[in-house]
Amino acid sequence: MPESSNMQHSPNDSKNLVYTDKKRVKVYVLENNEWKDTGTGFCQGVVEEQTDADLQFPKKQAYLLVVDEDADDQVLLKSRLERNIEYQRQEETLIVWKDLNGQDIALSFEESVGCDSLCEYICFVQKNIETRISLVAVRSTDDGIGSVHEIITGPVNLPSNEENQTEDSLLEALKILNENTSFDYLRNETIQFVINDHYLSILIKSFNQSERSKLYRNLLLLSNIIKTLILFNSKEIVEEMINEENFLSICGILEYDTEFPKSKLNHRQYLNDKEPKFKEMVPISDQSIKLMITQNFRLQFLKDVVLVRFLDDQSFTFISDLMLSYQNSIIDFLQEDGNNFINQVISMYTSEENSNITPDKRRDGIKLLHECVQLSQNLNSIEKTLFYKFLIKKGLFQVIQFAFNMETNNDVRILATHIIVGLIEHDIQLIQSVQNDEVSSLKDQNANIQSTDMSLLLILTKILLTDKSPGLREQSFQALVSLLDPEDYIVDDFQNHDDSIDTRIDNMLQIQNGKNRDEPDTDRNSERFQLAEYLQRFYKQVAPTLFHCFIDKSVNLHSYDQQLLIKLVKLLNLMIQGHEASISRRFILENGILIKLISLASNTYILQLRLAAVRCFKNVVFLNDDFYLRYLIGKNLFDPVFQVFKENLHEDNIANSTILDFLKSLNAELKVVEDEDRSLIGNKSSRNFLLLNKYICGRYGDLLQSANYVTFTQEMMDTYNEEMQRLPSISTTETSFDENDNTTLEVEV
Amino acid sequence: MMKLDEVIETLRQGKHVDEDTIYRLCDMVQELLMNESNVTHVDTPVTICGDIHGQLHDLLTLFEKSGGVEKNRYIFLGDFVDRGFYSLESFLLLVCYKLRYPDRIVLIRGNHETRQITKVYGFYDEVVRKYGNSNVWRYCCEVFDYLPLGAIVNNKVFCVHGGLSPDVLSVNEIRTIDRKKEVPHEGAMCDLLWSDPEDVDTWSLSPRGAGFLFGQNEVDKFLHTNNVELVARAHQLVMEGYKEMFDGGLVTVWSAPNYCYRCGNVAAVLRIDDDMTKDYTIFEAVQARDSGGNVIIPTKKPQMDYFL
Repeated sequence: MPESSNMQHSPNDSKNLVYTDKKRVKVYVLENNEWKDTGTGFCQGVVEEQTDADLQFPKKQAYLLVVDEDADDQVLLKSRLERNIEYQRQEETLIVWKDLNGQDIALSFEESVGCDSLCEYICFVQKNIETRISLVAVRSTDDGIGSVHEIITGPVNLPSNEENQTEDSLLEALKILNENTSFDYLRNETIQFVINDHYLSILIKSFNQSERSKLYRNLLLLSNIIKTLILFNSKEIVEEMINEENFLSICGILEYDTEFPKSKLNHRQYLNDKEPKFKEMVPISDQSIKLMITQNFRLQFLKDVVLVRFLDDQSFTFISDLMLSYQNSIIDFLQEDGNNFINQVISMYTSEENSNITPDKRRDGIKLLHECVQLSQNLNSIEKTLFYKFLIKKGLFQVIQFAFNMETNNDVRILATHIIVGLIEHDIQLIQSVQNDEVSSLKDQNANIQSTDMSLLLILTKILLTDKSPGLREQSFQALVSLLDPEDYIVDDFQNHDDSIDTRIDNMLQIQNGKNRDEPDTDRNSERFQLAEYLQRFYKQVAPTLFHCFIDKSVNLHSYDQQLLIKLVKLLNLMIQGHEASISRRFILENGILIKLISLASNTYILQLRLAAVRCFKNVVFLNDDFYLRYLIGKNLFDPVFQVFKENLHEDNIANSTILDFLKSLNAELKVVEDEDRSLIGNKSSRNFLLLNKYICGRYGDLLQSANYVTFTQEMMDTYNEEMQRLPSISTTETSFDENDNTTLEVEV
Repeated sequence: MMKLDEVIETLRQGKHVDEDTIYRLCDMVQELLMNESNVTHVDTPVTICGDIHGQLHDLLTLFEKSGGVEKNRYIFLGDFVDRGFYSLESFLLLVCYKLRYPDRIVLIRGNHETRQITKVYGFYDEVVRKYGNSNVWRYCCEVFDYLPLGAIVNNKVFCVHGGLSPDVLSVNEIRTIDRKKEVPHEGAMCDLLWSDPEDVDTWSLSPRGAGFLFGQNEVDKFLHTNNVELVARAHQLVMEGYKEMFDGGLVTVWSAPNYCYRCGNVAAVLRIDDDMTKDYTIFEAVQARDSGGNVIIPTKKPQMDYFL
């Protein structure tokens, strides 16, 4: 704040305005290439105003004034800020410049705060009094070599704002705009110019003229100018570009591209003819939201179609962020109950009165809900959960059920499954939460009423098993995978939602084999409890239908589509790996599912299916579960696996590699056992692999020995031979693992 | 369903192929791939090609400049998808050529041929944009799982997408990998698709977060142990199209010119003749043209009607 100080009264009625407090400095001047200390004092920014009868405005002259600290009537420096002097701020505390006499001067401030203060003063002077001076901050670069000059204030080159632009003025404009992207100060000044001087309108006018007169060079220049303006990453500029008035013309300008000078894209034609329409299904009263929806679409069009080859990472991120802010607002709007938008959409499916709604409109509704879910993809996790819960509470599932039960158009049904998959993949507990609400409201009713989550599973099962559309079956399969994967229950921020069922199974294997399990806390306990209940219901109500073809003895699996069988095998794999054995094993063993499973390895099936069955089988083995291993050996279920091996014994192909991988892993387990003290094998599980090895080598030893192109098969045989020598009395068909094992499992023979 | 030659022509023009046809193509090519070993044996003469990354029109140039698959043998080192705008067409074209000329073209897996990566770097989005749902992407990912991990030419040139692995001393060891799975985050199968050569003394941590850095020592040891002359790989952008390292023990081949429509690099393919001489063909990005001679400007398909 300038304080008026009447230090001096001169005849023409002048006064001095002091702009800063006194700041302590040392003054240096350059003489004979050396900086000479000319004294220490206090520096102030001072403006002398001289009013004159002849002058309309008072004449102002700005100075940097330093007075001696010991004698304040002694002036050490009075340097005028004038013409185009460049002031350099170096380090944090130096201001260095060359005055008009060629004299190099430096002010070294005691404190950087002091330097800040005088720099502000210089900026002030530049803006108001001497516009051609400049202040530049000089910093050394990160690698210590060279320096960066960043302009803090100074005169700014701006494009011409003439109504009539010529090729020259456009070329000049392009050059200037390119330069001005480099520093914040220039950037900000340019943005102000573009907005205040309505530069976009000027450009658009020039564009229309150039198009009419076929001035191609102008058109290319205009295109580059617009692109450069986008690189400014300015919300104001971009929003002006996508407003109702300008958007079409901007797209028009961008149809021309210097990379393809003889061609022209057709954005305007596309927008006009194909007319991607904003379908306002239910009226939206809030105009600003309607605007955002349109703007969101336009930005998407710019980002993905018009500018797709052009945007660099920064601008891409900038536009994405802008879209995100619109999307957040739209989602907020949807969730505000007062607006009733979602209510109206969903009531089309639930309310009796709405039976006159056309199927087309219902289809559109599902598409809209699908877009809601798509839109929310970029929200953070918590916001997403809130939004999905909101949709569910409003009745999303009723819409989904409608889609599955009533809708015949496949595309729409696929969208519905897409919605479900989206919800499930975000947080499976959302489905859970609906079920819990239902249960509490159905307290008095029959406990066998199917809850929403089981209904959902049954619907998905039905689609997987019977629907004609392979695409829909695929989607249902994915949904089932997500719904049956317990990882999504237990791990809180399981962000890494890899679609691949194979990876999920791998993950489970790691958890199963993990020796260190943390003591579960009470939250985990309740989650595990809920999960256990959910899975119990699944095995009781859904699994028998889903795996019907594996359970029913009269079924001939050869009459089934093999791709379907592959999917069932994968699901089985996931269940065996991921669900607690105490819940799943009974179902698996009681229904003889493993027998059917391994029968799929026979050469009457396609190879993909055979190997899928073998892989599932492998995973069962490496669960190292006593019951399973006993069962597999007792029923000689390894036979089909080694049949595959035999058929491909001397081939170098996937089938051969799959079995080799299995044997290699088994051998690796044996090595682990060897590390432990053999004589103290109290550990049941490590003994399991030894016994398994004994069974395999005893029964398939010839095959193993024939596979002499790898070493581990021989190692397995060696281990077997050692064991045989150690305990010759144990027959090779011994299958009991522990004589003290009193638990019995009712297993169908 | 369309006939194979019709599909090839449609794909070459970057036009839409229906979902059912794609399903069948993916199914058929799986059967072929399953009979290939993890490291496929190939005879000379052969042309080795690096990353394509969805740049369909540059792939067409590649075939044009190197003689075409009708008359020549090819090995493609992976990374067919992501980043470019025609990932689907590029990959399916190669699949069709595989079906049409099974003994002439070998496709091996790159680190981008996975569900995780393609979900982030463009292939997934491209499919959803073109088909409205992700099924075609799933079919293709299933095919990725069956792609072999490497190739070997005349038992002398070892071809792989990324590089070497500390877990693989001998090429034979690759045989015991069950490759039908998503590329793991670590282990031999991961390393082969992710590692990079570098001036290091021994195996080092890779800045990519997967695979390793390996130096001349590792390459020499590998060449010696396996009695091969050369490791041919891709995976890294090379401005000049190809780059030899380690006294000619290793070469990086890159076949996507003007990568991402921005990098301004040239591309290369490597031809190995019967006498094992190496011959590099360099080519640049050229403007794509349709059958009418009009320039095709690469872009993404725009969204249709919108509600929100």
